[in-house]
Amino acid sequence: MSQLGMINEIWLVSPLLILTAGAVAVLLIDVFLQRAWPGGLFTGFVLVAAMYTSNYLFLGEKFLPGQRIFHNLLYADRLSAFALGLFLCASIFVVLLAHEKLKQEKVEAAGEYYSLLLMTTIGAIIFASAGELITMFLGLETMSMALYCLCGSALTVRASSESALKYFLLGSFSSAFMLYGIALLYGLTGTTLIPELAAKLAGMDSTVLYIAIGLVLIGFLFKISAVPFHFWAPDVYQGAPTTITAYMATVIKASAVIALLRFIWGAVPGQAASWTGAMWTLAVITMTVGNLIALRQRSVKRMLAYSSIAHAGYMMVAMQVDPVLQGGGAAILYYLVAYTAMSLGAFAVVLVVASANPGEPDADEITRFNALAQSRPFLAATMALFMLGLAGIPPGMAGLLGKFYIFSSAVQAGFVGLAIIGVLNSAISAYYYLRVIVAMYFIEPQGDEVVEKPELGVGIAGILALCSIGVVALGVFPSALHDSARVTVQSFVNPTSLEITVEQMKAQPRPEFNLSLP
Amino acid sequence: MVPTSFYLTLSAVVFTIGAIGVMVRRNAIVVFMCIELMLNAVNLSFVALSRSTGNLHGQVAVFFVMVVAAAEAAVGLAIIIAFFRSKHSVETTDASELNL
Repeated sequence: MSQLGMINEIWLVSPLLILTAGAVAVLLIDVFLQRAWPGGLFTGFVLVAAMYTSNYLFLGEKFLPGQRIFHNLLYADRLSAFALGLFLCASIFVVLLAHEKLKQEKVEAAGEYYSLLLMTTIGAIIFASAGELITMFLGLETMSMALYCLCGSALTVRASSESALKYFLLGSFSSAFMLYGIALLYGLTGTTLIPELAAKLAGMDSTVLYIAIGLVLIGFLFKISAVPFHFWAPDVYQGAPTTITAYMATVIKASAVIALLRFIWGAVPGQAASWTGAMWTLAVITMTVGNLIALRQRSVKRMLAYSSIAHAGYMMVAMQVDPVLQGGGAAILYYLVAYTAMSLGAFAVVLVVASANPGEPDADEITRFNALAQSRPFLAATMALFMLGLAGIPPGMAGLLGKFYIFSSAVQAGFVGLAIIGVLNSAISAYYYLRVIVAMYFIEPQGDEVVEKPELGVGIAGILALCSIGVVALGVFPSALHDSARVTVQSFVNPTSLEITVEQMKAQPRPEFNLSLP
Repeated sequence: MVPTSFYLTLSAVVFTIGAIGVMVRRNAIVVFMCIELMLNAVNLSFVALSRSTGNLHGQVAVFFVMVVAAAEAAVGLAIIIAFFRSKHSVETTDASELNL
C-alpha cells in the first residue's frame, strides 16, 4: 500500500532495523573491547528495545489487516505483529540463558554468538512476515545460515561441528527444493506475491501446479521437522549447544509454522483439497513416529527433539481445518505460544543439569536427573510442570488446552479419526515425559556416585519462574490469548472483511474447555 | 527462438542430477557442489520462465539466488573446515558420533 509513505513504512520495520544495527554493533564492540564486556546483556537490551518499539507500534494499531509495505514485499499485519512479539520474547529468554551459561556450553566466541543470534532472529521475522515468495526464501536463508553457524559455535565439542555439517547439508538441500517450487509457481502465474498468486491460481488444476506446491511444502516440512523430513532434527538438537537447541525448538519452529500458514492459507487456498490428503497422512506419521522413537531415548535433549517432532505433528492436524470457521488457525497460534513457553523452560532445565558436566557427551542423560528433587527442588518442580504441560496433563494447563483446541477443531471439521489418533499419541507421549519426573522424584542416586549439584543462576531461575507462570496462566485464562489469536487469523485469511475487534470476537462462540469431558 | 520447454527440461535434468548427487556422494564438498548445481538449475528455470511470462521478476530473483548461493558457499565451507579440524575427514560417513 503505497499511500503509507516511505517514512511510515520504515517506522513499521523499525524493530528489524534496531536488530540489524544491534547485530553489527555487537560484532564491532566485541572486536574493540577484546571480549571483555557483557555482550549478552547488550544483546538482551537490543532485543528489549526492538520489543518496545514493536509493542508501541502494535498498541498504536499500525499493524492493519492485510497491510503490505515496501511494494508488497512484506506484510505488516496482525500476524506479523504476533510473530514479532513471540520471537523477540523467546529470543530474550534464550539470550539470558546464554548470558549465564555460555562458558559451560564451550562457546568461546561470545561476540559472534550474540551477533549471529540477532541475525537469526531478523531472518525468522522476515520469514514469518514475507508477502512474497522470494522474500520468504531470503528470510529462510538468512535465518538458516546464521543458525548453521550457531550450531557449530562450540568449536571444541566434536558433536557441535558434526551437527552444524548435517544441518547445513540437509537444510540447503531442502531449501533448493523449495526454490524450485517457487520458480514453477512463478512460471504458472507470472507473480510471486502471495495474494496475487491465490487470485491467479483460483480454479487452476494441473500436474505442474501440484508438483510445485509439493516442492515448496518439502522446504517447509523440513524446517518444522515433520516426518519423513525429520532425520536432521534429533542429531542437530543433540549436538548443538543447548541454548541454540532451545532457540531452534521455539523461534525457528514457530517461524516456519507461521510462514507455512501464510503459504497454505494465503497463496494456495484454492488447492486445499489436493494437499489436505497428504497433510493427513504426514500428520499421523509425524505424531506416531516422533512419539514412538522418543520412548527409547536416554538423552533428554534427544528425547525433547523427538517430542518436538511429535508436536509439529499435532500442529499439522489443525492445518487441514478451516482456519476461521472451524478455529484451526487460532488453535495453531495458541499451541505455538504454549509450546514455546513449555519447551523453553524444559531446555533451560536441561541446560542447567548438563552444565554440571560441561562438554561431556552424556551430560544430559536421564540418569543425571536422578534425585534432582533433593538437590534442586525448584529446578525439579519446574521441570515436572513443563513435562506435564508437554504431555497435556494438569497442572500443565497450557499444553492441555492447546491440545484441546487442536483436536476440537479437527472434530468440528469432521476429522474424527485424526483426533482419535492424536489423543492416543498424547497418551503414548505421557510415558516418556513422566519418566523424567520419576527419575527426579523417585529414583535414589547409586551409593558411590558423586552427585554434582548443578548451579542455578538468578537469571535462569527467573526464566523458569516466568515460563512456569506462563504455562499455568495461559491454561487457566486462555481467553485473552485465544481471542486475539482468532482476530489475528481472521484478519490474515480474510483481510477485506471489516475490522473485527477482540470485544466483538468475544461475543462469538469459542470452544469451551470443560474438565468433566471424558 | 528456442522454446521455453527446452530450457525447463534441461533445468529439470540438471536439478535431478544435483539431487541424486547429494544422496549418492559421501564427500561433503562434492555434496555441497551438488546443492549449488540444484540452485543454478533453478536459476535457469527462473530466467526461461521470466521470458515466457513476459516480466522481469524472474530475472531479478536470479540475482537474489546468486547472492544466497555465495553466502551459502562462505558459511558451508567454513563449517566443512570446522568439521575437518575435529575429525580430520570431510566424508559424511564420518559424521556418525550422533547416531540416527
